[in-house]
Amino acid sequence: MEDPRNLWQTQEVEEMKFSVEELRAKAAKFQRRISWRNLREYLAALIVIALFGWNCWKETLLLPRIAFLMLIAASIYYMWHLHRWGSARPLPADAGSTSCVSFYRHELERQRDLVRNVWRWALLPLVPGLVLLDAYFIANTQPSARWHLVGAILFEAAAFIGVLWLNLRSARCLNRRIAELDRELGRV
Amino acid sequence: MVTTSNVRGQDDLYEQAASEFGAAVARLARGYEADPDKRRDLLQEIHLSLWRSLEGFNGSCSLRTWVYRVAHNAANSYVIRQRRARPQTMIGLDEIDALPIEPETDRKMALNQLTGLIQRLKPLDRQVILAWLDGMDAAEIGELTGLSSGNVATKVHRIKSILARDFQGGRNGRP
Repeated sequence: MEDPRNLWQTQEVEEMKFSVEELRAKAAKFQRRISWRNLREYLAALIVIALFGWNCWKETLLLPRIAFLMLIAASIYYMWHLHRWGSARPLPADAGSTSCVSFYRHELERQRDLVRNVWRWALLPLVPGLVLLDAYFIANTQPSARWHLVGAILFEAAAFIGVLWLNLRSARCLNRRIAELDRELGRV
Repeated sequence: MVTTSNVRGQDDLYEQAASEFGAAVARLARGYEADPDKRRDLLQEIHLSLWRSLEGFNGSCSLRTWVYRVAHNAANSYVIRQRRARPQTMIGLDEIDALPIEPETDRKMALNQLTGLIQRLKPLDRQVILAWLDGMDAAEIGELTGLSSGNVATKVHRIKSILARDFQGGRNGRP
């Protein structure tokens, strides 16, 4: 008769051993990886800003210039938000004093809030600049050529709706898991 | 403020924790990740998190509970990240009738089936079954997970009834 606890505890496992020096080196490597990732994000932001900036500088009229400046501001805000809230991070220092239930719920909430608010930090800031730019182009395009612009605007709208839908679906899924957890804990 | 004695204490505690609970942490990782290469990454992440966390160890709970909490929290965080990349359905203890282990199944296969079941469980159920299999009692499981004693008792009862039929009833006399 095999006791499952005995079966589990006497199984052969690959036990990894790390010296403290190795762990220090790994922690430093992890920090370097985060620094590199940050650098990549900043470079991407700089490229986007440079592209909008170039267009802004090239424009002679005030309206499109304002639109490009708005898009630059939206890109900076997006990068800042992603860096501040969405990045991979080491486990919080209190991971040993926080119960598994609290930790798990907090992680689910963090992920849910990030995706649920995507419209606020990723999409909405882009809207004023894009609307202004689209309006300017429509007003300054021959009526016969406007259908090209309508196509581009519809594409923009579809991309916005697609991103929003995917993120809201993900948020709903995370919400269901939080609700399920609460039900199990008898909180609701 | 980080002082030399703090660092020394952290390092000593880590060495003690790794030597006392290294095997338990490796078993725990097995309950979270089936792929051996990814499991090594997860184990490395757990050890790194554990070493970091021990800087703040204040003796408010036993070292064992601390190690298990950090390990489960790190592993759970890993699972949440993995699930975003590879969504898969998880099941609860109440959705399982019995572990389908045939009477003639050998020890290794039984262990693989048990591990497979654990890997499919929802996070809380997985934490409870792993802690129970590792010999924790209901009070320790409650302290580890934050679940009420009633909740732990229900889950442990369920685990026992799932496992009893096949491990103790169906496998009569087998070593």
